Amino acid sequence: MNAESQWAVECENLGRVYSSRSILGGKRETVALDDLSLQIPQGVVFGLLGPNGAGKTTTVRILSTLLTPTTGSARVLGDDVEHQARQVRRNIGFILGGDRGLYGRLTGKENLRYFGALNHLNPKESDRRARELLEQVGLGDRGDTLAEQYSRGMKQRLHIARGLLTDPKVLFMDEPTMGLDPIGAQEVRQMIPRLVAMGKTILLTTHYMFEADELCNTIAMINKGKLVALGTPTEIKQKFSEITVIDVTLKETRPGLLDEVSGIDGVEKVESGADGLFQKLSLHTRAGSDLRQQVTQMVGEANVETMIMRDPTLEEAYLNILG
Amino acid sequence: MSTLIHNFLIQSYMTYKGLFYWLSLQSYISNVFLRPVLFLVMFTLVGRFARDPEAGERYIIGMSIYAVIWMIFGGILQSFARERGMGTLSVVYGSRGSRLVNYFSRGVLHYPNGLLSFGTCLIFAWLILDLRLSQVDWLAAISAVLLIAASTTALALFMGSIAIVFRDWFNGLSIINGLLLTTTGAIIPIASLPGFLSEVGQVFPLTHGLAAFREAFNGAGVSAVAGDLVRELLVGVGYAVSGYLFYRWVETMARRRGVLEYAA
Repeated sequence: MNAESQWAVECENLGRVYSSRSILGGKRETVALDDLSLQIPQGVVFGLLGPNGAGKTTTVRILSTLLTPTTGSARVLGDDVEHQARQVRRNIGFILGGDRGLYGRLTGKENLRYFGALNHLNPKESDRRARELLEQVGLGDRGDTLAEQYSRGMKQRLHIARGLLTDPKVLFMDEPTMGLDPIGAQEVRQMIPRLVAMGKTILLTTHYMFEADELCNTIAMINKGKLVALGTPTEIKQKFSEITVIDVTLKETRPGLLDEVSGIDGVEKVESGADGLFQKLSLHTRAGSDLRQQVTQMVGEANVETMIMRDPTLEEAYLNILG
Repeated sequence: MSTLIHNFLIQSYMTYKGLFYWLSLQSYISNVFLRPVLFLVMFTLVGRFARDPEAGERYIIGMSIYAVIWMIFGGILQSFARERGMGTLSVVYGSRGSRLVNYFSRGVLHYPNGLLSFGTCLIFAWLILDLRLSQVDWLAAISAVLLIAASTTALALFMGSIAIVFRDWFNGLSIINGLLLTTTGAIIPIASLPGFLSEVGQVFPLTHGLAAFREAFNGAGVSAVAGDLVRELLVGVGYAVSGYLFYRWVETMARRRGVLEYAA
Protein backbone atom coordinates (compact mmCIF):
# COMPACT_ATOMS: atom_id res chain seq x y z
CA MET A 1 0.00 0.00 0.00
CA ASN A 2 1.26 3.40 -0.96
CA ALA A 3 0.98 5.52 2.19
CA GLU A 4 0.75 8.73 0.18
CA SER A 5 -2.24 7.70 -1.83
CA GLN A 6 -5.41 9.56 -0.91
CA TRP A 7 -7.43 7.52 -3.37
CA ALA A 8 -8.71 4.03 -2.79
CA VAL A 9 -8.99 3.50 -6.53
CA GLU A 10 -7.65 5.46 -9.48
CA CYS A 11 -8.30 4.60 -13.12
CA GLU A 12 -6.45 6.51 -15.78
CA ASN A 13 -7.53 6.14 -19.39
CA LEU A 14 -8.33 2.53 -18.65
CA GLY A 15 -9.18 0.39 -21.65
CA ARG A 16 -9.81 -3.25 -22.34
CA VAL A 17 -10.33 -4.94 -25.66
CA TYR A 18 -11.26 -8.62 -25.86
CA SER A 19 -9.92 -10.43 -28.91
CA SER A 20 -11.17 -13.70 -30.24
CA ARG A 21 -10.76 -15.69 -33.41
CA SER A 22 -13.45 -17.37 -35.43
CA ILE A 23 -13.10 -20.98 -36.52
CA LEU A 24 -11.80 -19.70 -39.90
CA GLY A 25 -9.14 -17.56 -38.21
CA GLY A 26 -10.86 -14.19 -38.54
CA LYS A 27 -10.05 -11.84 -35.66
CA ARG A 28 -12.87 -10.17 -33.76
CA GLU A 29 -12.37 -7.44 -31.22
CA THR A 30 -14.82 -6.21 -28.61
CA VAL A 31 -14.19 -2.97 -26.76
CA ALA A 32 -15.29 -3.52 -23.16
CA LEU A 33 -13.71 -0.42 -21.62
CA ASP A 34 -12.78 2.74 -23.45
CA ASP A 35 -10.62 5.42 -21.84
CA LEU A 36 -12.20 5.22 -18.40
CA SER A 37 -10.78 7.65 -15.86
CA LEU A 38 -12.11 7.98 -12.33
CA GLN A 39 -10.95 8.35 -8.75
CA ILE A 40 -12.57 6.89 -5.67
CA PRO A 41 -11.74 8.39 -2.29
CA GLN A 42 -11.24 6.14 0.73
CA GLY A 43 -14.11 5.22 3.02
CA VAL A 44 -17.04 5.64 0.61
CA VAL A 45 -19.46 3.50 -1.35
CA PHE A 46 -18.91 4.14 -5.02
CA GLY A 47 -21.53 2.87 -7.43
CA LEU A 48 -20.75 1.76 -10.94
CA LEU A 49 -23.91 1.64 -13.02
CA GLY A 50 -24.63 0.75 -16.58
CA PRO A 51 -26.53 -1.65 -18.79
CA ASN A 52 -25.40 -5.21 -19.50
CA GLY A 53 -22.11 -5.16 -21.38
CA ALA A 54 -21.31 -1.61 -20.30
CA GLY A 55 -17.97 -2.64 -18.79
CA LYS A 56 -18.83 -2.79 -15.09
CA THR A 57 -17.63 -6.33 -14.48
CA THR A 58 -14.58 -5.75 -16.66
CA THR A 59 -13.65 -2.78 -14.46
CA VAL A 60 -14.09 -4.83 -11.30
CA ARG A 61 -12.02 -7.67 -12.73
CA ILE A 62 -9.20 -5.35 -13.71
CA LEU A 63 -9.18 -3.74 -10.27
CA SER A 64 -9.24 -7.20 -8.67
CA THR A 65 -6.09 -8.14 -10.66
CA LEU A 66 -8.00 -10.87 -12.51
CA LEU A 67 -7.69 -9.15 -15.86
CA THR A 68 -5.02 -6.93 -17.34
CA PRO A 69 -5.97 -3.70 -19.08
CA THR A 70 -5.02 -3.30 -22.72
CA THR A 71 -4.50 0.44 -22.32
CA GLY A 72 -4.18 2.87 -19.44
CA SER A 73 -3.56 2.00 -15.82
CA ALA A 74 -5.34 1.48 -12.53
CA ARG A 75 -4.16 1.69 -8.96
CA VAL A 76 -5.67 0.48 -5.71
CA LEU A 77 -4.39 2.38 -2.67
CA GLY A 78 -1.53 3.54 -4.85
CA ASP A 79 -0.45 0.10 -6.09
CA ASP A 80 -0.64 -0.65 -9.79
CA VAL A 81 -3.04 -3.52 -10.48
CA GLU A 82 -0.96 -4.87 -13.33
CA HIS A 83 2.60 -4.47 -12.11
CA GLN A 84 2.06 -4.69 -8.34
CA ALA A 85 -0.69 -7.27 -8.31
CA ARG A 86 0.58 -9.05 -5.20
CA GLN A 87 0.53 -5.82 -3.17
CA VAL A 88 -2.92 -4.98 -4.49
CA ARG A 89 -4.25 -8.39 -3.42
CA ARG A 90 -3.17 -7.69 0.15
CA ASN A 91 -5.66 -4.84 0.34
CA ILE A 92 -8.67 -6.00 -1.63
CA GLY A 93 -11.54 -8.41 -1.39
CA PHE A 94 -13.93 -9.17 -4.21
CA ILE A 95 -17.40 -10.56 -4.31
CA LEU A 96 -18.28 -11.73 -7.78
CA GLY A 97 -21.41 -13.45 -6.56
CA GLY A 98 -23.81 -15.78 -8.27
CA ASP A 99 -24.34 -19.50 -7.98
CA ARG A 100 -20.80 -20.22 -9.08
CA GLY A 101 -17.51 -19.47 -7.38
CA LEU A 102 -18.02 -21.72 -4.35
CA TYR A 103 -17.07 -25.34 -3.69
CA GLY A 104 -20.40 -27.12 -3.44
CA ARG A 105 -18.88 -30.22 -1.88
CA LEU A 106 -17.35 -28.25 0.95
CA THR A 107 -19.30 -26.85 3.86
CA GLY A 108 -19.55 -23.10 4.34
CA LYS A 109 -16.89 -23.29 7.02
CA GLU A 110 -14.59 -25.39 4.82
CA ASN A 111 -15.02 -22.97 1.94
CA LEU A 112 -13.76 -20.17 4.15
CA ARG A 113 -10.97 -22.31 5.59
CA TYR A 114 -9.78 -23.06 2.06
CA PHE A 115 -9.91 -19.40 1.01
CA GLY A 116 -7.98 -18.54 4.15
CA ALA A 117 -5.28 -21.04 3.19
CA LEU A 118 -5.23 -19.71 -0.38
CA ASN A 119 -4.54 -16.28 1.04
CA HIS A 120 -1.86 -17.53 3.39
CA LEU A 121 -3.74 -16.52 6.54
CA ASN A 122 -2.64 -17.92 9.85
CA PRO A 123 -4.92 -20.99 10.28
CA LYS A 124 -6.08 -20.06 13.79
CA GLU A 125 -6.75 -16.47 12.77
CA SER A 126 -8.50 -17.69 9.64
CA ASP A 127 -10.79 -20.02 11.61
CA ARG A 128 -11.62 -17.28 14.10
CA ARG A 129 -12.51 -14.84 11.35
CA ALA A 130 -14.50 -17.50 9.51
CA ARG A 131 -16.62 -18.11 12.63
CA GLU A 132 -17.16 -14.38 13.14
CA LEU A 133 -18.05 -13.74 9.52
CA LEU A 134 -20.47 -16.66 9.30
CA GLU A 135 -22.24 -15.17 12.30
CA GLN A 136 -22.19 -11.70 10.73
CA VAL A 137 -23.75 -12.87 7.49
CA GLY A 138 -26.33 -14.99 9.27
CA LEU A 139 -24.86 -18.40 8.49
CA GLY A 140 -23.59 -19.12 11.99
CA ASP A 141 -25.81 -22.17 12.38
CA ARG A 142 -25.31 -23.39 8.80
CA GLY A 143 -21.51 -23.37 8.68
CA ASP A 144 -21.37 -27.16 8.64
CA THR A 145 -23.85 -27.54 5.77
CA LEU A 146 -22.52 -28.30 2.29
CA ALA A 147 -22.53 -25.18 0.13
CA GLU A 148 -24.39 -27.06 -2.64
CA GLN A 149 -27.34 -27.27 -0.25
CA TYR A 150 -27.43 -23.51 0.29
CA SER A 151 -30.14 -21.34 -1.21
CA ARG A 152 -29.13 -18.59 -3.62
CA GLY A 153 -29.26 -16.04 -0.80
CA MET A 154 -27.13 -18.17 1.49
CA LYS A 155 -24.56 -18.63 -1.25
CA GLN A 156 -24.45 -14.89 -1.75
CA ARG A 157 -23.89 -14.37 1.95
CA LEU A 158 -21.08 -16.94 1.88
CA HIS A 159 -19.54 -15.00 -1.03
CA ILE A 160 -19.65 -11.89 1.13
CA ALA A 161 -18.05 -13.69 4.07
CA ARG A 162 -15.34 -14.94 1.72
CA GLY A 163 -14.74 -11.45 0.36
CA LEU A 164 -14.28 -10.15 3.89
CA LEU A 165 -12.13 -12.99 5.17
CA THR A 166 -8.83 -11.20 4.63
CA ASP A 167 -10.21 -8.01 6.23
CA PRO A 168 -9.64 -6.00 3.03
CA LYS A 169 -9.46 -2.23 2.94
CA VAL A 170 -11.15 -2.06 -0.45
CA LEU A 171 -14.03 -4.31 -1.38
CA PHE A 172 -15.33 -4.87 -4.91
CA MET A 173 -18.94 -6.06 -4.99
CA ASP A 174 -20.25 -7.07 -8.40
CA GLU A 175 -24.05 -7.09 -8.33
CA PRO A 176 -24.22 -8.51 -4.80
CA THR A 177 -28.02 -8.53 -4.57
CA MET A 178 -28.78 -9.92 -8.01
CA GLY A 179 -31.19 -12.84 -7.82
CA LEU A 180 -31.83 -12.48 -4.10
CA ASP A 181 -35.31 -12.33 -2.63
CA PRO A 182 -36.31 -8.94 -1.14
CA ILE A 183 -35.38 -9.93 2.41
CA GLY A 184 -32.01 -11.36 1.38
CA ALA A 185 -31.28 -8.30 -0.75
CA GLN A 186 -32.23 -6.00 2.11
CA GLU A 187 -29.89 -7.89 4.47
CA VAL A 188 -27.02 -7.45 2.05
CA ARG A 189 -27.82 -3.77 1.62
CA GLN A 190 -27.88 -3.30 5.38
CA MET A 191 -24.38 -4.76 5.63
CA ILE A 192 -22.83 -2.19 3.33
CA PRO A 193 -23.06 0.91 5.59
CA ARG A 194 -21.69 -1.20 8.46
CA LEU A 195 -18.66 -2.11 6.35
CA VAL A 196 -18.08 1.53 5.45
CA ALA A 197 -18.32 2.44 9.13
CA MET A 198 -15.48 -0.02 9.66
CA GLY A 199 -13.37 2.10 7.31
CA LYS A 200 -13.71 0.06 4.15
CA THR A 201 -14.09 1.47 0.67
CA ILE A 202 -16.68 -0.28 -1.46
CA LEU A 203 -17.00 -0.30 -5.22
CA LEU A 204 -20.49 -1.57 -5.96
CA THR A 205 -21.90 -2.49 -9.34
CA THR A 206 -25.64 -2.90 -9.58
CA HIS A 207 -28.58 -2.80 -11.95
CA TYR A 208 -30.88 -1.58 -9.20
CA MET A 209 -31.08 2.20 -9.22
CA PHE A 210 -32.85 2.51 -5.89
CA GLU A 211 -30.03 0.46 -4.37
CA ALA A 212 -27.41 2.82 -5.77
CA ASP A 213 -29.47 5.82 -4.68
CA GLU A 214 -29.77 4.43 -1.16
CA LEU A 215 -26.20 3.24 -0.67
CA CYS A 216 -23.75 5.17 -2.81
CA ASN A 217 -21.94 8.39 -1.98
CA THR A 218 -20.86 8.76 -5.58
CA ILE A 219 -22.03 7.15 -8.79
CA ALA A 220 -20.40 6.64 -12.15
CA MET A 221 -22.56 5.61 -15.08
CA ILE A 222 -20.82 3.86 -17.93
CA ASN A 223 -22.12 2.82 -21.29
CA LYS A 224 -20.26 0.90 -23.99
CA GLY A 225 -17.14 1.17 -21.86
CA LYS A 226 -17.24 4.96 -21.58
CA LEU A 227 -17.96 7.15 -18.58
CA VAL A 228 -21.17 9.07 -19.26
CA ALA A 229 -22.03 10.53 -15.84
CA LEU A 230 -20.29 11.04 -12.53
CA GLY A 231 -21.50 12.62 -9.30
CA THR A 232 -23.56 12.11 -6.17
CA PRO A 233 -27.00 10.57 -6.77
CA THR A 234 -28.59 14.01 -6.20
CA GLU A 235 -26.19 15.71 -8.59
CA ILE A 236 -26.84 13.14 -11.27
CA LYS A 237 -30.60 13.41 -10.85
CA GLN A 238 -30.44 17.20 -11.09
CA LYS A 239 -27.81 17.51 -13.76
CA PHE A 240 -28.96 14.88 -16.14
CA SER A 241 -32.71 15.04 -15.77
CA GLU A 242 -34.17 17.78 -17.83
CA ILE A 243 -37.62 16.73 -16.70
CA THR A 244 -40.08 17.16 -13.87
CA VAL A 245 -42.39 14.26 -13.14
CA ILE A 246 -46.12 14.60 -12.35
CA ASP A 247 -47.68 11.47 -10.91
CA VAL A 248 -51.49 11.46 -11.20
CA THR A 249 -53.83 8.80 -9.81
CA LEU A 250 -57.22 8.78 -11.54
CA LYS A 251 -60.45 7.22 -10.33
CA GLU A 252 -61.40 6.30 -13.87
CA THR A 253 -60.11 6.76 -17.36
CA ARG A 254 -61.70 7.10 -20.75
CA PRO A 255 -60.68 6.16 -24.30
CA GLY A 256 -58.27 8.63 -25.85
CA LEU A 257 -57.29 10.28 -22.54
CA LEU A 258 -53.71 9.15 -22.79
CA ASP A 259 -53.33 10.76 -26.22
CA GLU A 260 -54.95 13.94 -24.99
CA VAL A 261 -52.59 14.22 -22.03
CA SER A 262 -49.60 13.41 -24.23
CA GLY A 263 -50.61 16.30 -26.47
CA ILE A 264 -50.30 18.95 -23.72
CA ASP A 265 -47.51 21.35 -24.61
CA GLY A 266 -44.54 20.56 -22.37
CA VAL A 267 -45.35 16.88 -21.84
CA GLU A 268 -42.54 14.75 -23.25
CA LYS A 269 -43.65 11.28 -22.28
CA VAL A 270 -46.57 9.63 -20.48
CA GLU A 271 -46.36 6.26 -18.75
CA SER A 272 -49.56 4.61 -17.57
CA GLY A 273 -50.31 1.69 -15.30
CA ALA A 274 -52.82 0.33 -12.84
CA ASP A 275 -52.69 1.18 -9.15
CA GLY A 276 -55.25 -1.08 -7.54
CA LEU A 277 -58.65 0.10 -8.77
CA PHE A 278 -57.13 3.38 -9.91
CA GLN A 279 -55.30 4.37 -13.06
CA LYS A 280 -51.84 5.86 -12.61
CA LEU A 281 -50.19 8.26 -15.06
CA SER A 282 -46.59 9.48 -14.86
CA LEU A 283 -46.03 12.55 -16.99
CA HIS A 284 -42.48 13.52 -17.87
CA THR A 285 -42.61 17.27 -18.41
CA ARG A 286 -39.97 19.81 -19.30
CA ALA A 287 -38.01 20.86 -16.20
CA GLY A 288 -39.34 24.07 -14.66
CA SER A 289 -42.81 23.84 -16.12
CA ASP A 290 -45.81 23.27 -13.84
CA LEU A 291 -48.56 21.63 -15.85
CA ARG A 292 -50.71 20.43 -12.94
CA GLN A 293 -53.49 22.94 -13.67
CA GLN A 294 -53.76 21.90 -17.32
CA VAL A 295 -53.69 18.22 -16.47
CA THR A 296 -56.42 18.68 -13.85
CA GLN A 297 -58.62 20.46 -16.33
CA MET A 298 -58.13 17.78 -18.92
CA VAL A 299 -58.82 14.75 -16.73
CA GLY A 300 -61.53 16.45 -14.61
CA GLU A 301 -60.93 17.63 -11.03
CA ALA A 302 -63.39 15.16 -9.53
CA ASN A 303 -61.56 12.33 -11.25
CA VAL A 304 -58.21 13.07 -9.58
CA GLU A 305 -57.48 10.93 -6.54
CA THR A 306 -53.91 12.23 -6.00
CA MET A 307 -51.44 14.39 -7.89
CA ILE A 308 -47.82 15.09 -6.98
CA MET A 309 -44.99 16.83 -8.74
CA ARG A 310 -41.49 15.60 -8.02
CA ASP A 311 -37.90 15.43 -9.24
CA PRO A 312 -37.07 12.34 -11.24
CA THR A 313 -35.71 9.22 -9.57
CA LEU A 314 -32.23 7.96 -10.28
CA GLU A 315 -33.77 5.33 -12.53
CA GLU A 316 -35.50 8.02 -14.58
CA ALA A 317 -32.23 9.96 -14.77
CA TYR A 318 -30.46 6.76 -15.81
CA LEU A 319 -32.98 6.13 -18.56
CA ASN A 320 -32.69 9.73 -19.64
CA ILE A 321 -28.92 9.47 -19.88
CA LEU A 322 -28.70 6.05 -21.47
CA GLY A 323 -32.02 5.87 -23.21
CA MET B 1 6.96 -21.86 7.99
CA SER B 2 4.39 -23.72 10.07
CA THR B 3 1.65 -21.55 8.51
CA LEU B 4 2.93 -22.53 5.07
CA ILE B 5 2.86 -26.24 5.90
CA HIS B 6 -0.51 -25.96 7.58
CA ASN B 7 -1.98 -24.13 4.59
CA PHE B 8 -0.43 -26.70 2.25
CA LEU B 9 -2.22 -29.48 4.15
CA ILE B 10 -5.50 -27.53 4.23
CA GLN B 11 -5.33 -26.95 0.49
CA SER B 12 -4.50 -30.62 -0.13
CA TYR B 13 -7.54 -31.74 1.80
CA MET B 14 -9.93 -29.09 0.49
CA THR B 15 -9.04 -29.51 -3.18
CA TYR B 16 -9.37 -33.27 -2.69
CA LYS B 17 -12.74 -33.09 -0.99
CA GLY B 18 -14.09 -30.19 -3.02
CA LEU B 19 -13.00 -31.12 -6.52
CA PHE B 20 -12.55 -34.91 -6.64
CA TYR B 21 -15.90 -36.32 -7.64
CA TRP B 22 -14.89 -39.97 -7.33
CA LEU B 23 -15.01 -39.49 -3.58
CA SER B 24 -18.50 -40.90 -3.19
CA LEU B 25 -18.57 -44.51 -1.92
CA GLN B 26 -19.72 -46.05 -5.20
CA SER B 27 -17.31 -44.09 -7.39
CA TYR B 28 -14.39 -44.65 -5.06
CA ILE B 29 -14.86 -48.43 -4.82
CA SER B 30 -15.47 -48.65 -8.54
CA ASN B 31 -12.38 -46.66 -9.54
CA VAL B 32 -9.88 -47.71 -6.89
CA PHE B 33 -10.73 -51.40 -6.66
CA LEU B 34 -13.24 -52.75 -9.16
CA ARG B 35 -12.21 -51.17 -12.43
CA PRO B 36 -8.45 -51.87 -12.18
CA VAL B 37 -9.01 -55.44 -11.05
CA LEU B 38 -11.37 -56.14 -13.96
CA PHE B 39 -8.85 -54.69 -16.42
CA LEU B 40 -6.13 -56.75 -14.79
CA VAL B 41 -8.15 -59.97 -15.17
CA MET B 42 -9.13 -59.18 -18.74
CA PHE B 43 -5.59 -58.47 -19.96
CA THR B 44 -4.09 -61.38 -18.06
CA LEU B 45 -6.58 -63.81 -19.50
CA VAL B 46 -6.00 -62.41 -22.97
CA GLY B 47 -2.29 -63.07 -22.45
CA ARG B 48 -2.93 -66.62 -21.29
CA PHE B 49 -5.37 -67.21 -24.11
CA ALA B 50 -2.58 -66.24 -26.48
CA ARG B 51 -0.59 -69.09 -24.86
CA ASP B 52 2.22 -66.80 -23.76
CA PRO B 53 2.92 -67.35 -20.06
CA GLU B 54 5.36 -64.42 -19.97
CA ALA B 55 2.73 -62.15 -21.45
CA GLY B 56 0.38 -63.12 -18.64
CA GLU B 57 2.82 -61.95 -15.98
CA ARG B 58 3.76 -58.89 -18.05
CA TYR B 59 0.12 -57.88 -18.16
CA ILE B 60 -0.40 -58.39 -14.44
CA ILE B 61 2.42 -56.01 -13.64
CA GLY B 62 1.56 -53.60 -16.44
CA MET B 63 -2.09 -53.39 -15.52
CA SER B 64 -1.34 -53.05 -11.82
CA ILE B 65 0.80 -50.04 -12.67
CA TYR B 66 -1.96 -48.82 -14.97
CA ALA B 67 -4.16 -48.59 -11.88
CA VAL B 68 -1.72 -46.00 -10.51
CA ILE B 69 -2.07 -43.92 -13.67
CA TRP B 70 -5.85 -44.10 -13.69
CA MET B 71 -6.29 -42.99 -10.12
CA ILE B 72 -3.64 -40.29 -10.02
CA PHE B 73 -4.48 -38.76 -13.38
CA GLY B 74 -8.22 -39.07 -12.87
CA GLY B 75 -8.09 -37.32 -9.52
CA ILE B 76 -5.60 -34.59 -10.31
CA LEU B 77 -7.10 -33.65 -13.68
CA GLN B 78 -10.49 -33.27 -12.02
CA SER B 79 -9.02 -30.97 -9.39
CA PHE B 80 -7.86 -28.57 -12.10
CA ALA B 81 -10.64 -28.77 -14.69
CA ARG B 82 -13.48 -28.54 -12.18
CA GLU B 83 -11.94 -25.38 -10.77
CA ARG B 84 -12.72 -23.67 -14.04
CA GLY B 85 -16.10 -25.30 -14.48
CA MET B 86 -17.20 -24.21 -11.01
CA GLY B 87 -16.06 -20.62 -11.48
CA THR B 88 -13.62 -20.78 -8.58
CA LEU B 89 -10.52 -20.14 -10.66
CA SER B 90 -10.92 -16.38 -10.15
CA VAL B 91 -10.72 -16.88 -6.42
CA VAL B 92 -7.56 -18.96 -6.76
CA TYR B 93 -5.91 -16.53 -9.19
CA GLY B 94 -7.03 -13.54 -7.15
CA SER B 95 -5.54 -14.90 -3.94
CA ARG B 96 -2.31 -13.66 -2.46
CA GLY B 97 -0.94 -17.00 -1.25
CA SER B 98 1.83 -19.08 -2.79
CA ARG B 99 1.02 -20.63 -6.16
CA LEU B 100 3.70 -23.24 -5.51
CA VAL B 101 1.76 -24.44 -2.47
CA ASN B 102 -1.53 -24.41 -4.33
CA TYR B 103 -0.10 -26.26 -7.33
CA PHE B 104 1.60 -29.11 -5.50
CA SER B 105 -1.07 -29.47 -2.84
CA ARG B 106 -3.43 -30.75 -5.54
CA GLY B 107 -1.43 -33.94 -5.94
CA VAL B 108 -0.90 -34.99 -2.34
CA LEU B 109 -3.98 -37.08 -1.56
CA HIS B 110 -4.26 -38.63 -5.02
CA TYR B 111 -0.82 -40.17 -4.60
CA PRO B 112 -1.89 -42.70 -1.94
CA ASN B 113 -4.99 -43.53 -3.96
CA GLY B 114 -2.74 -44.68 -6.78
CA LEU B 115 -0.69 -46.83 -4.43
CA LEU B 116 -3.81 -48.31 -2.85
CA SER B 117 -5.18 -49.27 -6.24
CA PHE B 118 -1.84 -50.79 -7.23
CA GLY B 119 -1.65 -52.81 -4.01
CA THR B 120 -5.17 -54.10 -4.53
CA CYS B 121 -4.32 -55.34 -8.02
CA LEU B 122 -1.16 -57.06 -6.86
CA ILE B 123 -2.88 -58.82 -3.95
CA PHE B 124 -5.74 -59.88 -6.19
CA ALA B 125 -3.29 -61.26 -8.76
CA TRP B 126 -1.44 -63.15 -6.02
CA LEU B 127 -4.63 -64.62 -4.57
CA ILE B 128 -6.58 -65.36 -7.74
CA LEU B 129 -4.19 -65.37 -10.69
CA ASP B 130 -1.34 -67.30 -9.07
CA LEU B 131 1.18 -64.50 -9.27
CA ARG B 132 4.56 -65.61 -7.89
CA LEU B 133 5.92 -63.27 -5.23
CA SER B 134 8.61 -65.30 -3.48
CA GLN B 135 11.45 -64.02 -5.70
CA VAL B 136 10.59 -60.31 -5.40
CA ASP B 137 13.15 -57.89 -3.95
CA TRP B 138 10.65 -55.81 -2.02
CA LEU B 139 12.85 -52.82 -1.23
CA ALA B 140 13.66 -52.27 -4.89
CA ALA B 141 10.08 -53.00 -5.99
CA ILE B 142 8.53 -50.60 -3.47
CA SER B 143 11.08 -47.91 -4.34
CA ALA B 144 10.14 -48.30 -7.99
CA VAL B 145 6.41 -48.05 -7.31
CA LEU B 146 6.80 -45.01 -5.06
CA LEU B 147 8.85 -43.27 -7.74
CA ILE B 148 6.42 -44.23 -10.49
CA ALA B 149 3.54 -42.77 -8.49
CA ALA B 150 5.55 -39.59 -7.81
CA SER B 151 6.55 -39.02 -11.43
CA THR B 152 3.00 -39.84 -12.55
CA THR B 153 1.76 -37.22 -10.09
CA ALA B 154 4.18 -34.69 -11.57
CA LEU B 155 2.95 -35.34 -15.13
CA ALA B 156 -0.68 -35.27 -13.96
CA LEU B 157 -0.11 -31.85 -12.38
CA PHE B 158 1.43 -30.68 -15.65
CA MET B 159 -1.57 -32.00 -17.56
CA GLY B 160 -3.84 -30.27 -15.04
CA SER B 161 -3.01 -26.89 -16.54
CA ILE B 162 -3.93 -28.26 -19.97
CA ALA B 163 -7.22 -29.46 -18.47
CA ILE B 164 -7.84 -25.87 -17.30
CA VAL B 165 -7.23 -24.56 -20.81
CA PHE B 166 -9.45 -27.14 -22.51
CA ARG B 167 -12.03 -27.24 -19.68
CA ASP B 168 -12.05 -31.02 -19.90
CA TRP B 169 -10.42 -33.66 -17.75
CA PHE B 170 -11.78 -36.92 -19.12
CA ASN B 171 -10.36 -36.46 -22.61
CA GLY B 172 -6.97 -35.77 -21.09
CA LEU B 173 -7.25 -38.89 -18.96
CA SER B 174 -8.15 -41.04 -21.98
CA ILE B 175 -5.33 -39.67 -24.14
CA ILE B 176 -2.66 -40.00 -21.47
CA ASN B 177 -3.83 -43.51 -20.64
CA GLY B 178 -3.51 -44.54 -24.26
CA LEU B 179 -0.09 -42.91 -24.60
CA LEU B 180 1.37 -44.40 -21.45
CA LEU B 181 -0.04 -47.87 -21.98
CA THR B 182 1.32 -47.94 -25.51
CA THR B 183 4.75 -46.39 -25.13
CA THR B 184 6.07 -47.20 -21.65
CA GLY B 185 6.25 -50.98 -21.79
CA ALA B 186 3.20 -51.57 -19.61
CA ILE B 187 1.62 -53.88 -22.20
CA ILE B 188 4.02 -54.13 -25.12
CA PRO B 189 7.79 -54.48 -24.56
CA ILE B 190 9.50 -51.27 -25.65
CA ALA B 191 11.88 -53.21 -27.87
CA SER B 192 8.90 -54.47 -29.85
CA LEU B 193 7.52 -51.01 -30.57
CA PRO B 194 7.84 -49.77 -34.14
CA GLY B 195 10.21 -46.89 -35.03
CA PHE B 196 10.11 -43.72 -33.03
CA LEU B 197 7.45 -45.09 -30.65
CA SER B 198 10.18 -47.00 -28.85
CA GLU B 199 11.91 -43.69 -28.11
CA VAL B 200 8.81 -41.71 -27.12
CA GLY B 201 8.39 -43.61 -23.87
CA GLN B 202 11.81 -42.41 -22.62
CA VAL B 203 10.35 -38.99 -21.78
CA PHE B 204 7.31 -40.33 -19.97
CA PRO B 205 6.98 -41.37 -16.36
CA LEU B 206 6.56 -45.11 -15.87
CA THR B 207 9.01 -46.29 -18.53
CA HIS B 208 12.12 -46.43 -16.36
CA GLY B 209 10.29 -47.15 -13.13
CA LEU B 210 8.45 -50.02 -14.73
CA ALA B 211 11.67 -51.47 -16.07
CA ALA B 212 13.10 -51.24 -12.54
CA PHE B 213 9.98 -52.82 -11.07
CA ARG B 214 10.08 -55.76 -13.48
CA GLU B 215 13.71 -56.45 -12.60
CA ALA B 216 12.97 -56.12 -8.88
CA PHE B 217 10.04 -58.46 -9.37
CA ASN B 218 12.48 -61.03 -10.66
CA GLY B 219 14.83 -60.54 -7.73
CA ALA B 220 17.16 -57.66 -8.70
CA GLY B 221 18.22 -55.48 -5.78
CA VAL B 222 18.22 -51.70 -5.44
CA SER B 223 21.78 -51.29 -6.69
CA ALA B 224 20.96 -53.24 -9.83
CA VAL B 225 17.98 -51.04 -10.68
CA ALA B 226 19.40 -47.74 -9.39
CA GLY B 227 20.00 -46.37 -12.89
CA ASP B 228 16.37 -46.79 -13.88
CA LEU B 229 15.19 -45.40 -10.54
CA VAL B 230 17.30 -42.25 -10.99
CA ARG B 231 16.02 -41.82 -14.53
CA GLU B 232 12.43 -42.14 -13.31
CA LEU B 233 13.16 -39.57 -10.61
CA LEU B 234 14.67 -37.14 -13.12
CA VAL B 235 11.67 -37.48 -15.43
CA GLY B 236 9.40 -36.71 -12.48
CA VAL B 237 11.45 -33.68 -11.40
CA GLY B 238 11.44 -32.42 -14.99
CA TYR B 239 7.64 -32.55 -15.15
CA ALA B 240 7.31 -31.02 -11.68
CA VAL B 241 9.42 -28.00 -12.59
CA SER B 242 8.07 -27.49 -16.11
CA GLY B 243 4.51 -28.15 -14.90
CA TYR B 244 4.72 -25.44 -12.28
CA LEU B 245 6.15 -22.95 -14.78
CA PHE B 246 3.40 -23.89 -17.22
CA TYR B 247 0.77 -23.36 -14.50
CA ARG B 248 2.06 -19.85 -13.88
CA TRP B 249 2.10 -19.16 -17.61
CA VAL B 250 -1.51 -20.31 -17.95
CA GLU B 251 -2.48 -17.96 -15.12
CA THR B 252 -0.70 -15.05 -16.80
CA MET B 253 -2.34 -15.79 -20.15
CA ALA B 254 -5.78 -16.20 -18.57
CA ARG B 255 -5.40 -12.77 -17.01
CA ARG B 256 -4.23 -11.28 -20.28
CA ARG B 257 -6.91 -12.84 -22.44
CA GLY B 258 -9.74 -12.57 -19.97
CA VAL B 259 -10.90 -16.16 -20.23
CA LEU B 260 -11.02 -17.17 -16.56
CA GLU B 261 -14.73 -17.56 -16.24
CA TYR B 262 -15.66 -19.30 -19.46
CA ALA B 263 -17.06 -22.48 -18.01
CA ALA B 264 -17.21 -25.90 -19.55
